[in-house]
Amino acid sequence: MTALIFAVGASFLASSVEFVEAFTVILAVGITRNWRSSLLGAAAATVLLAIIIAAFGLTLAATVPIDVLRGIIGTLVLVFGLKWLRKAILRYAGVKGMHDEGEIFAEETEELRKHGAAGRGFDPLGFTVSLKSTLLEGLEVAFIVITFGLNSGRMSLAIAGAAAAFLVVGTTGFFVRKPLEQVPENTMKWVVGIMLSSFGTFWAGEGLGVEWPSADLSILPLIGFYLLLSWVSVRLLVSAAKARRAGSAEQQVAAA
Amino acid sequence: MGWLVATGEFVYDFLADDGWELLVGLAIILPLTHFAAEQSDVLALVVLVGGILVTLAISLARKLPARKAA
Repeated sequence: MTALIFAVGASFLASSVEFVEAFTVILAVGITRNWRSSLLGAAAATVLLAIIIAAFGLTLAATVPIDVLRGIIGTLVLVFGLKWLRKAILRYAGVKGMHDEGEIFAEETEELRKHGAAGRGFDPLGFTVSLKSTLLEGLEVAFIVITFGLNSGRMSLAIAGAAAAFLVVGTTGFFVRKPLEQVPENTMKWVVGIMLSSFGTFWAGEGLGVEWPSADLSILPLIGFYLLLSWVSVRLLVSAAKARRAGSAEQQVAAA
Repeated sequence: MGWLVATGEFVYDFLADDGWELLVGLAIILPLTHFAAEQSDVLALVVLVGGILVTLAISLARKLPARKAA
């Protein structure tokens, strides 16, 4: 049950983050090129993603034994999770710049305006940019839905989590019609990073033959472990970065 | 073919962003965990969780701003 609740939550949060990023580009294309091509590109990508989820999800579930599948999927989820977690830690420590949808939107619109006006008809450039962006962001969503769906044995709930995220972001975006800068994307990425890393560690361990104490409940201490790890890492990185900068400044003064 | 290009871009982005450190770390940790699980569950847990801790620590430390030479 714990795994199921977290699986739906992870699916919803991860999908929300990716949909917000895709929405920024769809909006930029809609405003600078035209809405018809932008929405057609996004719709085409959504259809492709649905095919990918159905094909891969069903094929894997039907052909690969669940124990083997858990090991493979656990490893992949762990890779994804650690990547997201690492990025979030670096952002909180100030080593990496924060993800800024407003800035991305400005860059995207400037780039698209260089290609001139699009007119009212079908615009291949707008369609391609929208499709590519939605597909790229959506692939991560597809991956998360497939992995959480297969592992929890409730694909429909994982899909429901992603669909709910699509509805929330889509509806908000439709009414707001500007980049969703207020969404705490970095925090959400950090939360998802912790969830994916915890589930990934648990499933990868199971796949490799580890008997977890208390079965599914072991995910809770793993979440605690990754929370503590990120808090300590941020603090250490902040002080180490300060010390390095101070050391460099002292060296420059001594050399001058 | 769009999805293939998108997947390629994602993999490139992942590797270019130092994601390879995580892959190398996991490539070492996971077989070791499998081997450790045959000996004892506690050992396997220590190898898995400890290995992830070390991998992440190395990956994060490499991102620290470099000291400038005098």
